[in-house]
Amino acid sequence: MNPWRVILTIAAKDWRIEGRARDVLTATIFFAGLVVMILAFAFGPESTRLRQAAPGVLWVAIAFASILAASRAFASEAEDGALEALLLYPVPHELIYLGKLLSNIGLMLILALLVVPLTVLLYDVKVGEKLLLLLLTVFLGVIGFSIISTFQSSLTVNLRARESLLPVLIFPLVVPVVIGAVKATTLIVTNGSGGEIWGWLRLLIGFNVVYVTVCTLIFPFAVES
Amino acid sequence: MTDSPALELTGLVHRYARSYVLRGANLQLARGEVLALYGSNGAGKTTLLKIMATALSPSRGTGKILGFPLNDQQRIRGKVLLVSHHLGLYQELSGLENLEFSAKMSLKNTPKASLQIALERVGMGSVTARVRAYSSGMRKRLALAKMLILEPELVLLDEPFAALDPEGKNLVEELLTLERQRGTTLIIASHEPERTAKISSLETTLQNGLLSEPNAPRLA
Repeated sequence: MNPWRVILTIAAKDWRIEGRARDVLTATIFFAGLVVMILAFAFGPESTRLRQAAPGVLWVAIAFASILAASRAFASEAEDGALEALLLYPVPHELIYLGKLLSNIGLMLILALLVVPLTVLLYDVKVGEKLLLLLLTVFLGVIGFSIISTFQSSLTVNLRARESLLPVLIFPLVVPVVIGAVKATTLIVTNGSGGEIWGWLRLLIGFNVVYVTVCTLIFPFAVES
Repeated sequence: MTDSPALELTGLVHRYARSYVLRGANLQLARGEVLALYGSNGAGKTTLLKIMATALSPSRGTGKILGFPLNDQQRIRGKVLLVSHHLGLYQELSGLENLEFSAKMSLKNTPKASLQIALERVGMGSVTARVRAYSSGMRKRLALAKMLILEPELVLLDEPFAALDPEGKNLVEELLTLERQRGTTLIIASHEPERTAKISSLETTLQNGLLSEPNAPRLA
């Protein structure tokens, strides 16, 4: 068995479904775009003020959009008993989690690719040569959010109060991601030192490595009856 | 493993909260047999099938499926197919795409031509729409097409004749008869003894959480 083939099969199936239904992307892009624009109007036209607010606004938009995406991550599996069928395939359940995670990361990265330029534009952010660091921060932050939100989504897939429970379950766990991502982005926007930026990025990398390992190992126990 | 019985279940107990559904069910079934499983609504037929498919773990009791203990789930899952009320189909995918996904997840390299042949066998070769647009009968046919491509050793069917028109019922009967001839062990939970008896070699009834001794079908 080639584990990558299983992971990619699950992710490709989800992307194909999303490409047709557009459940996740339509809702998250609209929501994140609205947050970025409303807050831009609220902070007014002063460039310095806008630049100071940009990192917080960017991550508020991504964080809340990730909750929306999470509530839909297992939705296609909830219909017609697809989750039960998925769990009955002769593949380790760890690979099912990783496949769902990959699919969620892909969708969130598409969202981030739209939200980041919109924020840079509306908030007059000048990243210059630190553009790659900003993209790396967004990449690591999105992965961090996705690791937790995909896992929690699998736990709540069969609950009626799923959508109200998810934020309560997700946010306490992603506090390190929020802090690391906002701090790193603030330093990038305000031309902070590379050493300090890398310190926060290392926190994000560490979080992602630890939590992807923990969630992958726990997932089979969480979904087995 | 191929000379071991298809099923050996001993003292299966299962409860949901305080309500007991199975109260010590025993069953032994040789390979290649077709067992009709009867019982009133809520008797526990679906629960029993789910335990056999390893979708549920029994509260108590032991058993082997195709020679593998019930807790050896991954090996059992590679050889068993459960066709339940909820068919596990993705609404936004076409029938062919659903079959392709099932084949890949079952670790089979089934060419697209074979998937198309399976669809044609269940009378859906020309249907290209997404599953969302299918009638319940078409969905059931698609779920049975999985049986043709995955070639499981044990197939567990929960009400295979439900929601089908007479033509669909005849098709299911024909497909299951062919599976029986191929040597597949079948367990069919049904409320239609007149149809099930034509295919089955044994029948048992689940009542008060216990299974009766399997006998030859009375209506055959």
